[in-house]
Amino acid sequence: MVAISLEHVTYRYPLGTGDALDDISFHIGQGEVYALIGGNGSGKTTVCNIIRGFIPQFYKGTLTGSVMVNDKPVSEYDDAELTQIVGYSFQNPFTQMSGVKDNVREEIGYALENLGLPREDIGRRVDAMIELLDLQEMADQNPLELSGGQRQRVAIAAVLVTDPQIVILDEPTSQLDPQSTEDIFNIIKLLKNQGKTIVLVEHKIDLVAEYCDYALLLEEGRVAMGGPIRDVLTDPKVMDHGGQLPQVARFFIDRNTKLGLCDPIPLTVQEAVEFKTGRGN
Amino acid sequence: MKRGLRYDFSLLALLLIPVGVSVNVVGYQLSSILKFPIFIDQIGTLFVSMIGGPWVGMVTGLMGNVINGMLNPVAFPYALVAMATGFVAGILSRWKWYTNIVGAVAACVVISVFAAIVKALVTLVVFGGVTGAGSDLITAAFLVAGTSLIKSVFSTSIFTSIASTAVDVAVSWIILRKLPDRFLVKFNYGMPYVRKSRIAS
Amino acid sequence: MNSAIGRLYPSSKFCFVLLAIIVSIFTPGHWLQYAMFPFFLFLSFCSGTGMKFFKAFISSIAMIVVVIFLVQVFIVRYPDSQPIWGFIYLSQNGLEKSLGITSKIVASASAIMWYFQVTTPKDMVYAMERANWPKKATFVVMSTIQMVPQVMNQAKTIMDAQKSRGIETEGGVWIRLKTFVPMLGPLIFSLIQQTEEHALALQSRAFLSSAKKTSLYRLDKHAIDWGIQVLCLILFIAFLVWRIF
Repeated sequence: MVAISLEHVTYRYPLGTGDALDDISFHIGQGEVYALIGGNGSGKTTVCNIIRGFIPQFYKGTLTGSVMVNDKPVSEYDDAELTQIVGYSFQNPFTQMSGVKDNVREEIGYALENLGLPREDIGRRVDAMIELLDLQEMADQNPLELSGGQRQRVAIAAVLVTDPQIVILDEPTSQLDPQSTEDIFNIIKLLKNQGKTIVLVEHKIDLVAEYCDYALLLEEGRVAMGGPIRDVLTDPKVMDHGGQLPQVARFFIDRNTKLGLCDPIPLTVQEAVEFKTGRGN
Repeated sequence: MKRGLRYDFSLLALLLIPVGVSVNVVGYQLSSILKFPIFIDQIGTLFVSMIGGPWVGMVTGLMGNVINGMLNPVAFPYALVAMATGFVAGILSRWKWYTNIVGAVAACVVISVFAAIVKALVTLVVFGGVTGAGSDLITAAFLVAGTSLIKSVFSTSIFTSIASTAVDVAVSWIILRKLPDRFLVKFNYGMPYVRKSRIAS
Repeated sequence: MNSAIGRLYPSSKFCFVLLAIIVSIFTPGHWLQYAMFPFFLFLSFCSGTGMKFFKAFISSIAMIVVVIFLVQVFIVRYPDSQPIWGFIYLSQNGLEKSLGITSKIVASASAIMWYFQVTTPKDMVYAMERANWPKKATFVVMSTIQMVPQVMNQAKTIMDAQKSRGIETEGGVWIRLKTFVPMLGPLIFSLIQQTEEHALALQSRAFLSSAKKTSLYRLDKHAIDWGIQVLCLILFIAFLVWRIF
């Protein structure tokens, strides 16, 4: 089943002089982890905003083409309904706190309060999120006094608490240290195992290679490349379109051009190790 | 364009209210750091009224005084002054008075007059004419010169109001004119302040 | 606020304060009104906020009371004003008027100050939510209370930065006036920018849902709260009966 589909989507911001997105088409199947990659200003966040309906509802401007979530046009959803289907965690951790809560537990439960769930259910689901994102030690702290990385994790918990089928994560790890980054990717894996569809904007390409199923490379508002993660991230052309290749893949591509050794090209450290031991045998 | 209360209180406009109140507080602090003889404590209210309209401006004025009133209840009755300031300033934005300097100066005068009348009424009715503020000295001077209490309070109110409103409007207007277009277009009352050259292109 | 009084339901305290203000305004004379100050001072000590109350009262209300007396008695001209020296006159009417005004100010201010010192904003907003205030209204109240101290910190950083870049804070009025824009401009820009992202974040947290908001936080009305509210209502009716008939 197709969870998200964009067909010939073109968008221009109000007062904009050019198209922010130009004829974008792709679809994401249910349960897939889909990476949006590309340089700064290539349109990744704009695509996220279109999927969530913030474009055109909030940003205005002119949007053409068709945007469907669960086979229904996004414009036909009412906002509360879409909130429950599509969870969206933003890039900037400082603006994501509600601003009306003085402890992390209530901050995480805010969406459920707005949806009118009974207190007991909220408590249970908040506790589960605190467990999942390992937030125990900050549960009673004021969210406005946390560091950027801590807020980012609280924000992700606050979005996942509504149990959305589709989760958009816009650079969730940009404020995090390597250990917390790894933790977030483990949560992504867990969500994938639960059958959730994930749209991930991420610069840490090695982790993208390891955890994502598909990648879409954007360049100046156009689709430069797209497809299964292995096809995209082992193709040297990625570099010509403002993208990056995983270190492992780059290493083997460099060797390949000289020696013409391996196919398929290893993508992750794990695969590289397997390749090496495999050849040793 | 339909301009109901629901239209004015969009989610974005709602978020302007705490911003306006915070700016009021910071403006007030700044005016005491810079040792101004008058209180510059409505910059946020004015600014919010300009891009959020009369109702959002009025609530910003109210909230500012409620926050102050929690510490010092004298601020509660004066909420009416801040509300009048926000409301009138917002109406003038609806009439697009802030698109040029002449309109902005005229707005200054109109807002001052309304604020002064409400302030004088509150001072007279609730406090009998004096409130322990520095401006009481002006009122006392009028009284000593033989002016009646009501006239003295109104005159003091006009003087102080014009001075502080002039600074409030000037500062918020300059900042409004510097606000990037991409922000202005999202606010219900921001469209008239978008640079014309950009619309044409 | 961890006292027995601090833990009362906000509406109970509010009813009581409202009653005190109504009675103070519509009862003739001034002794009952003045008595509200020692009464609320006593209540404050019972609530564990005695010194806080006393200090706040002295620094804000006491000054106003003194000024009102001085101006009304010695400076404002009434029909019975007797010249004493220069522009100083003495008036019995002025004294009576001062007593009337200041007694009401003392009473109302005492009641309001006490209320806000023994009630947390969180409890207040919770009570408003439960009393079916619109979600947007309770949101504005709570976010304003939370935001002001945050922004004051932010402003301090900006002001220090601008000062170190050599912006004048001394000199003539005009020079000082011109510092307002560079000091406040960056702050307002960053606040407005955050507003956008904040709006979307709130929308992602189902802020626009039309469901009746529930709350993880819990504050219960106890028997004593019902008792206080009913008592206030009875006293109010009794007061009405006394004043009208």
